[in-house]
Amino acid sequence: MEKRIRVLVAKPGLDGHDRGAKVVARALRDAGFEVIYTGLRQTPEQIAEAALQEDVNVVAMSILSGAHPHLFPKVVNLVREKGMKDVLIIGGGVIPETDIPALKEAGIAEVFTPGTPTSDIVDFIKANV
Amino acid sequence: MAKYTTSKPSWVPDEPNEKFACSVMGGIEGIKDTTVGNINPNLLNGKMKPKRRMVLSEDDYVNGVLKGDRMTLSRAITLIESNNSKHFAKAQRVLQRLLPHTGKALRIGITGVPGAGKSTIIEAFGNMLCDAGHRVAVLSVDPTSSVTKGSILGDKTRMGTLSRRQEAFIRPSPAGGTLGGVARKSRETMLMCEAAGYDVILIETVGVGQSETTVRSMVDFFMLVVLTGAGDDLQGIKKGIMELADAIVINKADGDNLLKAKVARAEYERMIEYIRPATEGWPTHAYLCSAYTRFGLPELWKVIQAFKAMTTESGVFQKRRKNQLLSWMNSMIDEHLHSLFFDDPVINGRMPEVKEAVLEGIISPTQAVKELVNMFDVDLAAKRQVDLFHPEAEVRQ
Repeated sequence: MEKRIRVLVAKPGLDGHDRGAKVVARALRDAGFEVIYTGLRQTPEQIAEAALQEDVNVVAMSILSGAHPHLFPKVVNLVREKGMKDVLIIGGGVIPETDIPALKEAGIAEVFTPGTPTSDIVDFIKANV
Repeated sequence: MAKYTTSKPSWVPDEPNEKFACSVMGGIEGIKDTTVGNINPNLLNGKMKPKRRMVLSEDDYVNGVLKGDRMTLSRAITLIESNNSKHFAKAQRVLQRLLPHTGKALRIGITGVPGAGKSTIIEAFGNMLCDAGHRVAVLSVDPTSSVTKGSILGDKTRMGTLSRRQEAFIRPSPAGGTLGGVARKSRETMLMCEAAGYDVILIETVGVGQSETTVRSMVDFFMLVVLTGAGDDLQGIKKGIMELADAIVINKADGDNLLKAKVARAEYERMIEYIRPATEGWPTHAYLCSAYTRFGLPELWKVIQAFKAMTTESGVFQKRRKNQLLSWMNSMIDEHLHSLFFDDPVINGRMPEVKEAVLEGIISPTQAVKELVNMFDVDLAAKRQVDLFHPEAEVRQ
């Protein structure tokens, strides 16, 4: 029996651009995942709480506004604090290459920037969950 | 590459041309070999091992849920939802141990056509109950979400405030799969939430088909959310749903719409006159409310409490719960026999031939059923499935 993978697609921060998150959500659904989309402008607390209640395997965040150095690590910390040590956390969006090492240091497993084929994200999740 | 397909959005031309400005970038695939780029080098050289999912024991589940630990509860629900037969056996044992701690919550079902405002009512109503010191669990029964294998659940977007309250637990679940289907999973999820100390369970369902009957058979109080314009809407709403409801709630009774809502209420009241009440001794009425302004919601809660007091006194409340247990058992038998039959290798082997014969018009469907059922060996099929219910089956999540 194939494993059921649940993914929370989340939009932290204040920018209102979720086309990318929706495309990713759809691609993940087409790949057979169960996708929970939080909607726009979520606080890190809301995202961590949703991840807990939905018992997801993956939290995938998208940001355009540039708030990622602040918000991504905050979500990681909150998720881990709530006891979800085994949840894979990935990020995406308009993120400068120079910021990526620090994000990975903070516990983001992988960062997907514009132009990433959605299949890469699917493969990454399948390989790491 | 993974085995999945994606379809192009409708606005993308089949053949890319100059007029269409979008182009597909090479992406990170092209730079995998270099040290720059965003692929984690530890992944490429295999240093980063995928984390194994935490395995909780039966005791972990039971103790965690009883303590009201939200993460354990959420993992326990995943266990229940799993279609893996080993998880099924484990979930059943966990549930068995939690069963003495269930049954104390008030179970409320909410149905209505899409857009009637069910989620908004739950958001407002749930917040009100949390403020009053209750602990609220929100579940949903949605049989339509199994069209594709995956699903996108969007309830969180509409219950923003409630979803981050510590007193509330929201878990809209995708349906589908085997081993009892949606009805079993929702019931058992409900019991888990009760064991975790949630004292009001709100179960939401779209009222367009079978699901509202399923929900009616698992809740104490059932309400139908409608909008104004009753005369026209009634064409679309099956009378059957009104027969199931203990209350009809007219939402969006605010601003300019208030007058129309009052008219609609009168019309619904007239309709109800001719319908047998869903609960013995409880007259169904129409109520006004506005999830937006919270008008009418405290009154609605009073109605529900009056309902509970009245039916408890008359014994209808307890009687209904007992009947629900029996109907649950019956539907489980249906499901189980169904899966025994359709998973049977003998039947599966014969099925294509019989189907062909029916399609060709050689035998009638009735005759085909007779033939297949005669071939079906229940004892043998039951032996094959024995591990499903067998307590000693190897269990790992």
